[in-house]
Amino acid sequence: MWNSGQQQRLMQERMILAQYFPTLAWYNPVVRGSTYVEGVLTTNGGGRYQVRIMLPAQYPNDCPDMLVMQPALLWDAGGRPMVTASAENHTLEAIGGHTRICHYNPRFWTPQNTIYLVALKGRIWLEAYEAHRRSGRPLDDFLPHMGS
Amino acid sequence: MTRVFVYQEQLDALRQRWRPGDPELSVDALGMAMDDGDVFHIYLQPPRAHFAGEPCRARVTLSGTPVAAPAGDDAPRVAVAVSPDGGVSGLVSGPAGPVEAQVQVVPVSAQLYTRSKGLLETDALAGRSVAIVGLGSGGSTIAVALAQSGIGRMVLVDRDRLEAGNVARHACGIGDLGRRKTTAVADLVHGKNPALDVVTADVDILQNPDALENAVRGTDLLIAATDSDRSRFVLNQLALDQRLPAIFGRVLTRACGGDVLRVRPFEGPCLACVYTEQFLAQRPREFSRRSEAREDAPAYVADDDLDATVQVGLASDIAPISTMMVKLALVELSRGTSGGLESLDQDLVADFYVWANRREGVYASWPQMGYEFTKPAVLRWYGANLSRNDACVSCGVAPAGADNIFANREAMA
Ligand SMILES: [Zn+2]
Repeated sequence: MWNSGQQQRLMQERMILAQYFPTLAWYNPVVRGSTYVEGVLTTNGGGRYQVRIMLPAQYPNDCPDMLVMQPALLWDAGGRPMVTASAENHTLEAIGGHTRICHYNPRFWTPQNTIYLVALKGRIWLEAYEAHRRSGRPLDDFLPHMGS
Repeated sequence: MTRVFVYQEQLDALRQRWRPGDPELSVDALGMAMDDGDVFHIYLQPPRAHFAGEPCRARVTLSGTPVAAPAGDDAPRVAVAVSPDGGVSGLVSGPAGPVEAQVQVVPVSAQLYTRSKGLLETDALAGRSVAIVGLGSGGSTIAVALAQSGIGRMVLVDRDRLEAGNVARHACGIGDLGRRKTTAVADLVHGKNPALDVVTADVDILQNPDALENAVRGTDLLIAATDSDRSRFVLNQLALDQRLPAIFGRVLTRACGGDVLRVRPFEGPCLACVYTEQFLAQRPREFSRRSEAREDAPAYVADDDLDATVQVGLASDIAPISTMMVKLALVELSRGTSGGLESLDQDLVADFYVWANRREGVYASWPQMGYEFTKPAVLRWYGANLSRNDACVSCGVAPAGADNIFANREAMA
């Protein structure tokens, strides 16, 4: 069970997320350390990606992980699976075979950041991913300020 | 003259085994010889604190008669006799036969601290307790200093073991390599204050929030001496949740300086009011080991870049930060007591303090120290007047209006 402060926080986050990311749903919402938010994000180009944001037991003081669940694995423009940590791609080591987006540098994570902001960064990353696939240029070129 | 030390508390325990009418009671003990046999410490029970020396056989006798010279092949090297009226005598076997030694009884732990009376009312602090989370170079030295101040109870929290790379800056030495930092530091502080009630908790604070909360609950003050900013935010939240005053300290990259924050929950700023994302980027913290930097940096950071962030400061770079944390802790613990720290309390009005070790890194533009007092200079403390951020996500007022999904689990399916 999340403690009372975390409960307050998650209720606020739920309101904000429902407004800006209505496609993201909550799972295991009351179990501390097991809660995740999952749903489909759609890019401007019409690409559909199911993403999962997993909240650690010490959220919001600890940094959540974000995975791409569907497609289960993303491939870069060179045909390589995006399963390793890469500065160019803003990815971290895959979890359970799923591409893991580096949305915030865990070093500079603060509790001011929200699930909404993580989802927003995920959304931007997906746009950059598609631009990278189209152009072959490093994904990083489209994400000047992310994860650094 | 050869000196022999025995411990009052252990003698007291031995006396309780002495039945009236028995002519004497004699027990084998562990002797530790030091300084080429000039000094011996005699243990009737396994030592609880750090000890040194070469082991030898010893015997302690409760008897009405003075100590007899040890004789025979299995004679102990040290023989101590204690008379019913408390008189002590001792003999130590040397190359030229037994010689008389000066026996000194180490007083019961409470008496060890009588000398600091007047400076700090140690009786008052005996009722106070502190939780120290993070027992690296900073936390371990803070633990020793607070034990020496005569507090009554200490909770030690860490998840790591002492490795060769830590020892140069740690309060513990190579004799503790491989040990849990909690138990190694517990032994260390017992050696400074045997009366201290020490509780250890081997907890990963990011993974085991419940264990952390239980360990810290009921203490009077939290010392946050962990080495990642995320763990600091976790401890900040804990301090707020438990209404526990907390002292945070950090060493900056390349140990060019550091900062200290006092959190009085909901009275002054909390860590999240001060440590914003921009603040952390401007004042990056230090990593003392590559593995630590590796754990905290995105995995794709190259090893070369990683090395640049790992710059081991000397113990003397960390000591000023630890000392300031101890001062702030003692002021906090002495409040409401006749602790004698009133003037320091008046001086330490700021909640946030900045220290510069060298004109490097974020302090590169500072002027040389010289003889002036009107400009910022290294090796001085600067208090900053920071206030609470009303919109702080950790200590601000929560906006109302959200549905309480936790009151109705069905609603969250
Ligand atoms: Zn705050």
